[in-house]
Amino acid sequence: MSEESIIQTKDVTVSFGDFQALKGINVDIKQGEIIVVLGPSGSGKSTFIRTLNRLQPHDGGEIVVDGIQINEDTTVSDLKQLRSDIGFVFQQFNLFPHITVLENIALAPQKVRGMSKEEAEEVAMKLLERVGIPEQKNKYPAALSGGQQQRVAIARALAMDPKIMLFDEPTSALDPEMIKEVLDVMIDLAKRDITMIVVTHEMGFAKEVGDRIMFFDEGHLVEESTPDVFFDNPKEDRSKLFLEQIL
Amino acid sequence: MSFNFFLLIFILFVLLPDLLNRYHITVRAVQVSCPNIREILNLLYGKLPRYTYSAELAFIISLLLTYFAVKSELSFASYLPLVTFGYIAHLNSKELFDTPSNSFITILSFFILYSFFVKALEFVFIESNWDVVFKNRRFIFLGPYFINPYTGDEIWRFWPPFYVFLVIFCAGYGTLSESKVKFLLPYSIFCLALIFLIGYDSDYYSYKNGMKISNRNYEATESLFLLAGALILGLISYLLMHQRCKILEEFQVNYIQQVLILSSFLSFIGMLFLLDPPGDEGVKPSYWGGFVLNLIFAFGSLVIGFGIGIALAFGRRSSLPVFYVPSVAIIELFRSGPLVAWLFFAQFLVPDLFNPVWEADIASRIIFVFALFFGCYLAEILRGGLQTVPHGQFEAATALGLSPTQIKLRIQLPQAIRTTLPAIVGQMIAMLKDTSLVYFFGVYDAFKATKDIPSQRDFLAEYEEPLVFVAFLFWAVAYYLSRLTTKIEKNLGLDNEGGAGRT
Repeated sequence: MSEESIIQTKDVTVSFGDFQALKGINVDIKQGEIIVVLGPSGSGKSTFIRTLNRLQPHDGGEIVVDGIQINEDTTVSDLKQLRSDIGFVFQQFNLFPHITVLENIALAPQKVRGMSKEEAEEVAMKLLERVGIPEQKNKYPAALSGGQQQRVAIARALAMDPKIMLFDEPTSALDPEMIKEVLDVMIDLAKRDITMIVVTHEMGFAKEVGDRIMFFDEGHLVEESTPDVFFDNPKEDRSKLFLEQIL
Repeated sequence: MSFNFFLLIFILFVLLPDLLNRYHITVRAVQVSCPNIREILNLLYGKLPRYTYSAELAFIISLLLTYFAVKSELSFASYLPLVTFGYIAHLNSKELFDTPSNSFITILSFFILYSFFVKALEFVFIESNWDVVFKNRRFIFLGPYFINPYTGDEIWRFWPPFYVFLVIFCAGYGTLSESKVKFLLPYSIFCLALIFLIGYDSDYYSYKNGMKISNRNYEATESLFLLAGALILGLISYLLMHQRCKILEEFQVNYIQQVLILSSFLSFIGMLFLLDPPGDEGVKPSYWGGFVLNLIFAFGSLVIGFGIGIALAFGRRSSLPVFYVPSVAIIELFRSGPLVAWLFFAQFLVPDLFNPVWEADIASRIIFVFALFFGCYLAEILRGGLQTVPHGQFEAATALGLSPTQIKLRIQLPQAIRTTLPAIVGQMIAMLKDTSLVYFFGVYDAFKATKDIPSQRDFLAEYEEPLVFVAFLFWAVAYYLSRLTTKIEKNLGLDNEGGAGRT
């Protein structure tokens, strides 16, 4: 793991009207780190990772991702470049329903990276094999199970060969039986040198693969520590309360 | 007359006592003499075998019997539909006669349907002289200028497009995974109708001199060979495509369908070039005519209107006033005026406004107005469709780094079209019917032809038949379009998501 920072934020704030979702977040994420973001609902963890590729514009503070300062002045081409380097996996999969699985994965490499169709489909096919569903390549997303859809969504994000992967509760919309197949893919991914930020409620996953846990509550970054420390003797009272309630 | 009389007796002596019986109202005389309606039906039909029959079959049988009754003018014949009706009622007696009000509705609706069919059949088979339509068939379909004996026969210009379109359509049907019967049955009806229309030697009438022209310059055999070739080619393309699509995967079939749609657009443009090639050859657009002209106008406006509609829909959703304001202005301006007003605008004002720049003939001006009008309605339909595309789709595409234009065209638009397909086809049908308005502007569409036919020497004042025939043509195309959409929706799997299903 290199010691180079890939994501740095300083006093990031986000408000929705009167409600302040993020109240000054400072993080420093190194390249190749795997960060697990925990916290109760409404604590701002999803909002936080959405600010990192500007799906959610922030009101104050600074965000620097991969050397690019993200704010209103970021040029469109910089933002596009940045977004193509950040994979994002959604809770609701958000696959494109009108094209096949293979086309879903191969679309962005063609349109953004300028790959040829054959090249892009070759990449897509490799990724489908990696997530374990090469036989589903010509089906439409509606014909797949939730777990399979989420694996396709991960493959779609990986097709852009991103430096950073953001996961926004990737298993929360799945049946319990399907959670494992998605987590397996993510664990496999964690072994490679890729920066991952995972918002999740899967404590087992957090313990197993997380390099660092970030615990959010009410828009604050309450605690930041290694999984061992966080789960065995958390520093903050709020973290203790949270762990008592879920374990 | 006899039927009405019979119905009166039926109501007075069968239905009424039956109702009274049910409500235990003692009217001694009728109660004793009249049995229950079910008993009567049972008595009459009880020994007949109870075939399973479909509603369509029963309908056709009743129609045939009604036709026979009308045609034969025999008094007993008019009882035959009634007898059939009684038999069907007997089979269905659980639903048709279970309560007094249902009995009443059954009888009433039968009476209404029967009177309507009698009148309709009388008109179609007895009062009308379809000769006027039949002898003017090329006039109605193609207008006067393609068959003018003095300028030469330009009808051949329709054959190549006919071949291409037929092959494309049949191939398109092949891609729909349906049983062969569902295609072959309508197709054979279509073939027979065409063979009848084209192959039958007949005099026809020149609109200019109002005189009869013998069939000397009409080679039925040649046309028949051409037609047979086209029909067989269509059948082959259907069978090949059907065979092929069975083994292909869904996405490959969708790809083929997209190619077919594109090629139909291209061959439409090719057809326009063939009809009016650059230079003095061919027939100028203002001289096109007949029902084909309606179709060309509709298709042309459809193609152009789609582009306009998509641009306006996205323009209206844009947050930039540069796009937003003109889009809203155009949509509101064109939707608020009647189409006729805009057509007059195209005829009288547009030449003055654009004359130095664009000297378009009336046909292209009219197509442009239709396209703009269609585009405005389409824009509003598509805007509705775009609003139903989940925001997550936009976010996912943005997160992948796609540009706003790519997101609009590749992600949002296809999904919006999928969900609004029924409304779009509704608008297309409306536009097809609106093309009959060009009749006001000296363009020789099918309705203009029907207006001129009654002035021919042999068919003076025969107004009704051509009008009915042209109305039927419009109905047939509109109905076909709506059936086709249902098929496409099924094919897209939309009916599982709450789409068309049965209509």
